[in-house]
Amino acid sequence: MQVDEIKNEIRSIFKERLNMDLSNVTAGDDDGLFADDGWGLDSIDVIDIVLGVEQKFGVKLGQDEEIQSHFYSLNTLAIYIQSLLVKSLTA
Amino acid sequence: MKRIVVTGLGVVSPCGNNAEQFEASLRLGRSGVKANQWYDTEGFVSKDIGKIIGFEVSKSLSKREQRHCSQVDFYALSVAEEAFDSAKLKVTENNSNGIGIVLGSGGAVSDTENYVRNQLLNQNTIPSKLLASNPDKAGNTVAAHYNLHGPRSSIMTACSSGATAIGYAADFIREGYAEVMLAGGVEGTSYVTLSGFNALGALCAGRNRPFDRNRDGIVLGEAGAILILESLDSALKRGAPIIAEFVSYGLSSDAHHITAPHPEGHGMARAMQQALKLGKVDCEKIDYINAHGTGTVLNDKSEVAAIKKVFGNHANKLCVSTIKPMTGHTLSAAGALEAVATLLSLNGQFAPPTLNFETPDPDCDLDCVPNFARNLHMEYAMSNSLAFGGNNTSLIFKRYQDQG
Repeated sequence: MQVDEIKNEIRSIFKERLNMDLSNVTAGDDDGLFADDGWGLDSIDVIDIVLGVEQKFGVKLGQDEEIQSHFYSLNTLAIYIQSLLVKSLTA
Repeated sequence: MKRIVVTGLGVVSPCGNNAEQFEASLRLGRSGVKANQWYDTEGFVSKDIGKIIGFEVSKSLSKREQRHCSQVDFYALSVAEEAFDSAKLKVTENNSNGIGIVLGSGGAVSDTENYVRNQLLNQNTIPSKLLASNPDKAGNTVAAHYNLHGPRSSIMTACSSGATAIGYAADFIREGYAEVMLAGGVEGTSYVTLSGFNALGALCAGRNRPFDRNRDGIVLGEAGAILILESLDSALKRGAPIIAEFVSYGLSSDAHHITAPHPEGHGMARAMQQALKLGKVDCEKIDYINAHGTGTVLNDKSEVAAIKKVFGNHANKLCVSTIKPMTGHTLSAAGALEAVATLLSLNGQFAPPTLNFETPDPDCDLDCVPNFARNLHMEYAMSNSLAFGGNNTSLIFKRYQDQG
């Protein structure tokens, strides 16, 4: 799956699970997911996003500390999910 | 004893989404109980519900806050905002340590219910909404939104929670833990709650008719209500509007039955006696009682017995009405909602009516202010709450005068 496709799927998770009105979001793909001037998410939103990602992509997100860096932006999250998808195909 | 006054009120209810609308309904006898179009009522004895309509989420909430709010959190935030506004109180760095909140809540049942329903139907679930199933969530949300750094507590004594919360909050002020306390209760309707009360046989087939010989049960409702309690010193120092004085409260347990009250109302009588004693109020001084008055056969009978036991001959001079036919039984919020009704009555010198009253019952032969509100001079008013498990709370308020 291409990164752009994955990003679209993540956006739909934001819409469906977080009830976000995407037409009002001005943040870009490299802007901070947790930044007030970015996507404005918080750690509670992550609970809902993790479940959404796991159900949508059929992957398991890690519990390690590194996971935080993958949640930096839409791009980093999409690239991380892509790497998990590749890993699951080659495993 | 340190004097405590009420300086702010906030309310959302089936018959008014602020204190002004709510008072108008109390005076006009305007009921907010309506045909239940929100839930599948198949199999339910009652087809009515006291549902809040026309509720608007406060514009002061950020998108992020809104995402994490349950139904009852929205109600709590809304009534807190109205209460702060009416008290002309702003939370600042200088006063926030002395401001706290005690709420009665059973948690966000409908949000939990939606989660389980979606899970069963294999639809998208939002697990973070389960955080709101904790009864302390609504109070935490209000405290976080307003930066209240004083005492925080949650009360669950079933249908007396909202009243008990007011008593506890007053204690926090009297004992010096806080200068100002928000106190109240919240409740949202849910299918689970309706089903539970239906299964207990507690719902009424027709109209909810407290103190009527043909009463046959309750109608459920939802509400949020918050009072701002404040030490008199603090209120005077900042020139706050003073609505009334909080005098005292009494608490007791029937230790009798899981759902039924003590048949002679012994527990409720003890709660009233305790409130009168602690407040040093002669029972003849009470002019009005806002009764729990659910409209079940057992509740109303035992409550009237309790009032007669405590007040003796004076019981016949009292006005004893219940607003539940106007609001439905709002469970965790009921005690707080009825405290607000009592304060509005005291301040406006009127007794709200007991609606739907048709046939007198010799077991409930007090003046229940049937069907129409009445002007009533009163200095002291009492608000009583009974609850499943035999949790009884009695609150006493007094008209505010400069000299105690």
